[in-house]
Amino acid sequence: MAGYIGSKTVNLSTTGADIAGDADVSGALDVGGGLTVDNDGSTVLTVDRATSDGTIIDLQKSGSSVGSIGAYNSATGIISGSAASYTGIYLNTNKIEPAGNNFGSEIRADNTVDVGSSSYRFKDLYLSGDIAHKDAAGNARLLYDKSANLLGNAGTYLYGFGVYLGGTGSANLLDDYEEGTWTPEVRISNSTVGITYDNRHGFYTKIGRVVHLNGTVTLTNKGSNTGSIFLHGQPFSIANLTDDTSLESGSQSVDWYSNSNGLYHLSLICHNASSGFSFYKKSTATANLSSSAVAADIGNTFSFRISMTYLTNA
Amino acid sequence: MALEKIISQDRIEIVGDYKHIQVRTKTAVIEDGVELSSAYSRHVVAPDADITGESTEVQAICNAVHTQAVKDAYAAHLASQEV
Repeated sequence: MAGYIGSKTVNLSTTGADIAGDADVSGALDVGGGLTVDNDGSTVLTVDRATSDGTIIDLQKSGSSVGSIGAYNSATGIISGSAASYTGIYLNTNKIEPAGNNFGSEIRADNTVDVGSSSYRFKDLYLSGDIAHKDAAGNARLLYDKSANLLGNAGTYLYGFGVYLGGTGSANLLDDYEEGTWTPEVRISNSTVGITYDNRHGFYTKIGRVVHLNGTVTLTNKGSNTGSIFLHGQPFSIANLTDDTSLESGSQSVDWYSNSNGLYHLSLICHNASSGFSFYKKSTATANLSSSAVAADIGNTFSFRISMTYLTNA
Repeated sequence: MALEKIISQDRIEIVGDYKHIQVRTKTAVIEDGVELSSAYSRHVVAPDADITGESTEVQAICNAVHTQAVKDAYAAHLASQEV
């Protein structure tokens, strides 16, 4: 038998209605028992809200709305939930933004919608740009940019240019860490002439402006020069921090030495800006440690182990 | 799968009043263009240093910044050092 939707003829049977062509309906259409719409090779279903933003499809359960798909500022929003618990996404131009309000003057919401939860997490995240983290007030906290720089608040670099610890002043900036080797070089009267080595090795660790050195040296010949003994080759320049003296304070220790000539105690002290250390000696238990060790104080096979800490301006 | 050891001076810095030149030498092990490991070694070149053993690049920097005025000032500084 035939029926009508609007002015269109509809074939009706005991199991439903079949519209073989176009059908225009002016007014509401209620369909019970499910609605199937199919087409071949072109758009299957067009749902058109003519002029205004708002809900286009209302999703319901038990007669009550649980979500909707609609238009906002001529783009698509998908919202679930009800007042005070709206959650969704807004498919804005070149971005997906969180939605937390119903279709109205603004469906987007700031700082209310999570991505995943502690129990139900997304897996991998693939990005080609930056990751920017702001706090609830909108202040920049962390930026991992596409150039692999990790930046703290105010654009300060956490990677590449240091990290601020305990504060944000220049005195709180840890800007360098490095490990490596250096080659100890013994000089007598600031000359290396005739000095040869059985072995010499040095290791350094730099943390901020603090440089810590370890080293070991064994000579096979001290040469023929006379005068004060120096140690050069340190990996970083020595900062000039103490006034009224060129001898910088620090922690320099000759941990062990052999093949000396009557030394009671041997120490090292660093010279500012002079790229080296001086050996100082005590010849007796009661002597001051204020005399430079000289070539005559060591044998040709002089050997020593040292550990030193000083401040650099590098 | 080609392994190569590449030694380079990857950092050359001029520091301090007397233009000390800090040189970092990097030794890297590379496999098919990918760096597998690396290690650093350093030394400092003072204005009065013998630079004949330095690289061409470091020598050029020394010649540029270790002017006679810098060398004289550094020599005066060393001469004035007192405990």
